[in-house]
Amino acid sequence: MKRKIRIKVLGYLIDIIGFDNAEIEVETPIKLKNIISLPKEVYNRTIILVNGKSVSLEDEVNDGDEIIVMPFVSGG
Amino acid sequence: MYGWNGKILRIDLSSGKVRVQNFDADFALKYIGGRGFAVKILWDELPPGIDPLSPHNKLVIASGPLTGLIGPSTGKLVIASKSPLTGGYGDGNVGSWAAVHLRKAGYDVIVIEGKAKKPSYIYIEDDTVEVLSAEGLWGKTTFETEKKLKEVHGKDTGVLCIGPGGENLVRYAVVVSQEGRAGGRPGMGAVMGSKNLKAIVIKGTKEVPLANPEEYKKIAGEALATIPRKPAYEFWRRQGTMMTIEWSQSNSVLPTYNFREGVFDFARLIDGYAMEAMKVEQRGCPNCNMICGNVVLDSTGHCAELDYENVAMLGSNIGIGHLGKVAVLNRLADEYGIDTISLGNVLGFAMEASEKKLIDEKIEWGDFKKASEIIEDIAYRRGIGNLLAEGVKRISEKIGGDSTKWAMHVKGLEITAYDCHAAPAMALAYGTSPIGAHHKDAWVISWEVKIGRFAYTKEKVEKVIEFQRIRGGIFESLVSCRLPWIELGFELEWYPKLLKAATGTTITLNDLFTVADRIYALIRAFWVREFKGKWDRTMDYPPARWFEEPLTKGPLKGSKLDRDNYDKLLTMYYEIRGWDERGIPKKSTLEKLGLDFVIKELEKYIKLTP
Repeated sequence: MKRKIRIKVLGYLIDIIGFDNAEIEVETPIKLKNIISLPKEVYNRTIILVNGKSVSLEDEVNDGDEIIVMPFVSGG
Repeated sequence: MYGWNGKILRIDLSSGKVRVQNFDADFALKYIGGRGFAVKILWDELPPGIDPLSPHNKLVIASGPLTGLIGPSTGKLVIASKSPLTGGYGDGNVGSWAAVHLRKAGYDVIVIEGKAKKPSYIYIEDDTVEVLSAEGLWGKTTFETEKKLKEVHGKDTGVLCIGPGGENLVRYAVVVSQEGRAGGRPGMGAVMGSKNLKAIVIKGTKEVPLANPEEYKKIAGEALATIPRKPAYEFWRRQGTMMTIEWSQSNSVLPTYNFREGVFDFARLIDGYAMEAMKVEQRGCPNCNMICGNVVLDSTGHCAELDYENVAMLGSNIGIGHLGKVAVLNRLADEYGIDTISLGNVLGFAMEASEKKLIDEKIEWGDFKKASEIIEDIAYRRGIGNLLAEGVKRISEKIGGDSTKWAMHVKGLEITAYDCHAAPAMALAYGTSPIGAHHKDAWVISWEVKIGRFAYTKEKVEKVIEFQRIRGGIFESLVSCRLPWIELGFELEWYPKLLKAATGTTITLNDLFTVADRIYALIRAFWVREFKGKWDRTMDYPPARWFEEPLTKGPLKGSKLDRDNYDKLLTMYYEIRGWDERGIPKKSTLEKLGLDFVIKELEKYIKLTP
């Protein structure tokens, strides 16, 4: 059965991933790499949080999880 | 010598004497430039214990071997002095055409000492150096001052100036250039004010001697061309550092209500997207192809240049969720020549002190009108402004209560815009920053969030030191902006190539790391000497609030730092640096870094650990 997962994308990654906010329906559990695709150079400078915890693209997400994909920044 | 002009311009404002001192390749290679030159000069020349606002203090304006040359964001200068805010070593960098003109005028460094009898400014045009009357400029804002000086000396000049904040010795007054570029957070503007020095105007028409100009031009061109191809470039041009508001809110590190919280209910109203909707212009420092100065019209219709730090500190940290109003406060600070970061801390502190009835003044969270009035009072040291001009450390010591626990500073310098309730490595970066709390030396939050925020590990300590070597060591001595590297991933390997072509000498990244360690040890020695050896590890602690008062909002509700574990991080930090348990460089470390001359001097005050 398909389940809902929410994804929020920040900064320049919006242009690479293609959206800023989305709610998708997928069969869970599912590996993040099956939802999000990033070039290696970009991935090395990317943080992915699932429910506030840092994860990798190899990790799985489940029903109701909230994903935030954000770049490294330095704030000045 | 190539790459450096090899010249220090010395101006004594008391006597009016001007002289040029040459320096040799040994000095250049040992300290590189910028912060390295500044701390060596201040160590050698300042008698310990002087009043930083007296004529005995010296102001050092220093460039490095890449400053002002065509290349990746090289239009920056370091401004350093003994700090009137902290009593220790203070510096800051500022993007300015003065950086380019200083080098083209034939100098690498300016050292200013003494005190002019009347308000003055310095005009430098190549070999001609004059101290001129600034009586018609005294009292004017930084924007008006630069405009007037350019009417007199032409637009093709670089101007560094102070506003009423510096004139009235606000302890966190800055030096300002180009209507909003500010530097020297630990009161470098007040040091200028104490010398009756309103401005420095520089015009240079020469070329810096380079070892291999054609090769340099080729490498610099290639380096510059890589920057717009970086994946983050386009978005950076849209929002610059302002995208960090949304980022910090998402990570619960956005300073809110005097660092009580890490999330702000109205963050969306002051973020990069709100800024984009208001943007009218983009400005930048010279020699930069990734300019980040976002100019908006503030609520009164004036131009104001925004970046993350000032919006967080004058927005969420004082409870204002309206970007046009935040922009007004930011512009006022720039015009008066007051540091926006310390100001946001002071206003947040005053609001909390008012709430807790520790001061008589009524100032509520988010009170824009009152905040505007207080900024002016601070600049002119009127009423409550006279107390608030002292910075949160001194204010808290004066008003008492439990306020020292939530006076958000390290070593007297107010904390910049990242809450550390749940970021121990970032807290360590603030704790060990060589000028007091500042993110410029080691900004590790992105990395810390990625590897896990709540751990206290040696890996984190090593990362803080790695960043300090790169940001606080390499970029502050080159002198060149760190943002191409840290924000867009511009490769560090470009810098040794640029240095080789400019200086003719092979200087590796490892060589630069050693210089960085030397600079850090010398800065630490400067502090210990100024404090007459009364120095212990608590000087490197962040404020008690982060240890004792957990976050009450957001996904990280309940988080706070652990003091014992922080202490363990600090011990690891000292061990890696070769400093002792007190945080003082060991004798063997000083010897290894070629700082033998420090040993005898420090041993007048303390016994060094072998």
